[in-house]
Amino acid sequence: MYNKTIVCVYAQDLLCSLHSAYLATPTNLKIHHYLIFLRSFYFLEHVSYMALVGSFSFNSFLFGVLSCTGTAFLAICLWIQVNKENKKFKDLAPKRAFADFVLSNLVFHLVIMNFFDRCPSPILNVVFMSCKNVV
Amino acid sequence: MAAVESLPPGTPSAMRNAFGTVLSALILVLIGVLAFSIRLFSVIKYESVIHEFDPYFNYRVTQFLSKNGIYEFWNWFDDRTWYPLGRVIGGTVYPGLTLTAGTIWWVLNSINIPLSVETVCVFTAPVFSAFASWATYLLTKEVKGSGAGLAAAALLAMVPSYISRSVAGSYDNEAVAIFALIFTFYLYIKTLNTGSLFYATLNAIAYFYMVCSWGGYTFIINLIPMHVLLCIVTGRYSPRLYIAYAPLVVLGTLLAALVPVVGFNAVLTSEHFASFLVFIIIHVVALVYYIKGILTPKMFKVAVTLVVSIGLVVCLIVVAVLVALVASSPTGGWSGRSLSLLDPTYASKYIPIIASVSEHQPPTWPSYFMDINVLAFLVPAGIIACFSPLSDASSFVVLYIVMSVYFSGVMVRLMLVLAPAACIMSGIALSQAFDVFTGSIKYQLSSKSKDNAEDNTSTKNAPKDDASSGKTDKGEEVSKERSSKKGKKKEREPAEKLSVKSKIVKKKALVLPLEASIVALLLLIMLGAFYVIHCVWAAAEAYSAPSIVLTSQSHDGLHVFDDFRESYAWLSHNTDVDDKVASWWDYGYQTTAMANRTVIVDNNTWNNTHIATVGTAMSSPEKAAWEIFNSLDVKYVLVVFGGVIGYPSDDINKFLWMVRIGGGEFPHIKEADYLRDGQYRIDSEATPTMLNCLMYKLCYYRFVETDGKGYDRVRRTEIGKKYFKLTHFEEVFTSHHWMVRIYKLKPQKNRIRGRVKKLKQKTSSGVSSKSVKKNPWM
Repeated sequence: MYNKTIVCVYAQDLLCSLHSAYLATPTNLKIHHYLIFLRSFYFLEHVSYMALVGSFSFNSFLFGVLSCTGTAFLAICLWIQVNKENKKFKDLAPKRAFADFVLSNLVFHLVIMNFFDRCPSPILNVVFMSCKNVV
Repeated sequence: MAAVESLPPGTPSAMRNAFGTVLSALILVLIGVLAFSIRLFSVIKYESVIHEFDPYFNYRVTQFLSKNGIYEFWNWFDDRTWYPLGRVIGGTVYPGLTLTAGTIWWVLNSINIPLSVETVCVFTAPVFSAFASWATYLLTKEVKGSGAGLAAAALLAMVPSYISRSVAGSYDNEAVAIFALIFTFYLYIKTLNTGSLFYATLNAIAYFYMVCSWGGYTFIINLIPMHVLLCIVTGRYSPRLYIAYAPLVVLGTLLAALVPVVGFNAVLTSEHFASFLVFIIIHVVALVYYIKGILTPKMFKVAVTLVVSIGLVVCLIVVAVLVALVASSPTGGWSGRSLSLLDPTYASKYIPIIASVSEHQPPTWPSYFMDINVLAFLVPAGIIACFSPLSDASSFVVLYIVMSVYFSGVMVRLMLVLAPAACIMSGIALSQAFDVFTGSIKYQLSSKSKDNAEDNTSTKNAPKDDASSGKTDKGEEVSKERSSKKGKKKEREPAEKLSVKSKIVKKKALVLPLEASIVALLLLIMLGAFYVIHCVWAAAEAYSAPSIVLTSQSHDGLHVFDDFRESYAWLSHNTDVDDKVASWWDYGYQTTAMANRTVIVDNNTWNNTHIATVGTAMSSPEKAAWEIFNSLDVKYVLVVFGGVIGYPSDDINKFLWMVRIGGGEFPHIKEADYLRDGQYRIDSEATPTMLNCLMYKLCYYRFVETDGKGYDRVRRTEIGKKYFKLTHFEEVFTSHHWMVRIYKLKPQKNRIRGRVKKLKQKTSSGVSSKSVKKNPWM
């Protein structure tokens, strides 16, 4: 009982310090954090959907899962490179980092388009199919 | 290099560096020419022809691609092989090599250089080996510097193990795949060193090219995670590591899943699980470092205890689920070939086909010396040199060589993966050795010439021992002298840039005496000379045989045995287009490519039962074999026989595999029936089953007519049954040296005479009641 209360207190302390430390990060980085959180959420949702319904269209499952992880990690990479406190990346201009991010996202989406095989709305379906054929 | 770049242009050291760059570019061009030309021995000695068996299949696919275009290629269903099953070429072939050669052919033809597809195919391998040596230069430059890079590139251009799979004419996947392998590793190390996302994207694209080219890409996708894990465990985690690894895994897996051969295997098979596991681990580590950065140490400890206790429970659940999933498949999710790499005894127990391929046997000790020669001695020195400053890149190269040594010990075919690692290590070792020796020589010479000058300057320098100007002057002077002597090699002894006086005390530990260094330098050069001599000999004599044309030297000159092409030409001219030819699977690719006839089994060996059917037919008596072949619509049977000229790789020597593979599927073929005292014999001591089987009869039909005694030059005995007739087959073609023999199935008789029919009915009913295991083909 005694130990449990101490752990709870510690946990509360931990959360408080995390919270305060987190508030100290500049706003532009928080955008990255929000995006990454969003992507992780969608990833979990997709995985649970597949676990419930079954992997009928493995293609679209892969598409969903990997697009989430892909854009998430790329955002992480950009975040690493843009973070001013990171000493090793001081000589990398933020514009160059962003350009790299755009390029890798481009390649990534070119690749992921090939896995796309169905879409709920028929209009969007036509659009995506034509894009896929072009690619 | 950074300090040098900041110097204004026009100063002497900048000029010397420019000279060094030009010199190294010239050396690289020469290395490329060397790599290309050392592989041309077979073209000079024989002709510009495609070698062996597998390259013929790739050549046929490239022909199809060049004729019909890429969409037909992706959707191609080949019905001229594995009759009656056919083979989906688009989904079962690694397209990298054929697409590369097809692109080169198309580009050349569109700029009006009319090279034929065959020429492009023959010369693809030497061209890509030149690229591979340039990629080795780039890779080693990232690890240790340009001097080591040049040495490694020169070594790779000539290493016999790589030459063996990339001579002009050996149009096989490894020709392109080794270049892709080294280039992917180079981009990975470059990303690790610079931390740039641009190189990470290029790395993923290079990995995609590797997946397209060769099944050995699993080596990359397991080696890189192992290296990441090693870096994390040894405390070398850094954001650059994350950027180097995470994009590769996600983009690389996606790109690998795009290649039809791999498909969903990229996420489902155990060969890729290591990469996902390490992906999760690196995220956890990154998160831990991030939280550590924003929390105080006390809070961090609390966080750790909390997370560990919760995390352990979650981990256990996930691991249990994974283990259940993996254990549900019989091989634990691994493919047969990969499993035989991990457990070398697996193939011989369960999959005799994998065990029968000679390339999959473990290598012998002499083959190491034959294939990498002098590098075997230099590799340990290189490993030590990699440790002297241990960076991420050098730890990667050490891991690479350790893993490749293990795998090359399991399968002789993987000596090819060892070759680049050995060259890199040896290049590093040689470069370091040269640095130490030449540095010693220069220092000794300069100290001898400055002995007088030193007495004057040492008195001046003594009071300003800590003054920087004197030290740097002397240091620059000595370094300039060094760069003037060896402009292309990078300096690596920072201790020698201090003042001469303090140098004397320190350098007594680093500098070798003059005579010793000169002798050592000469010995190293001699070592290199021996290596070059061995490589040229190996390329000319050992690895340039096209194996479709054989030659032998005898007292009356050079004999050329062109029997294979003679018989394939006969087949293509004297049979119908739709006729089916049955032979052992070794000759399938060549038959479809050169004779253009449908075959039953070929080198792809994807269907064990089909091969076992052919093996059973070859091991059965004539009538049973006729039944089997008739059920497969076969018209012609082809056997290879080396008894007249002494060609050892003929079908009688391969017969034991026919029996084993056939017996594995059809239990009425028992290996013991063919053995006498545990050996396969074809002389008078042979078992009756052996003397009656189809292979014996087809090989030795009319053999006595050659020399009157029936002396088989390969087995070195006279054959057992000399005079016999064939009842169900007729001989239609025997090549000039009796190497290839083609037989036609006789059509079934229209009428069986009444008495024979009644006898047959009685005997068949009598036999069936007695025999326990009935022959399913009768």
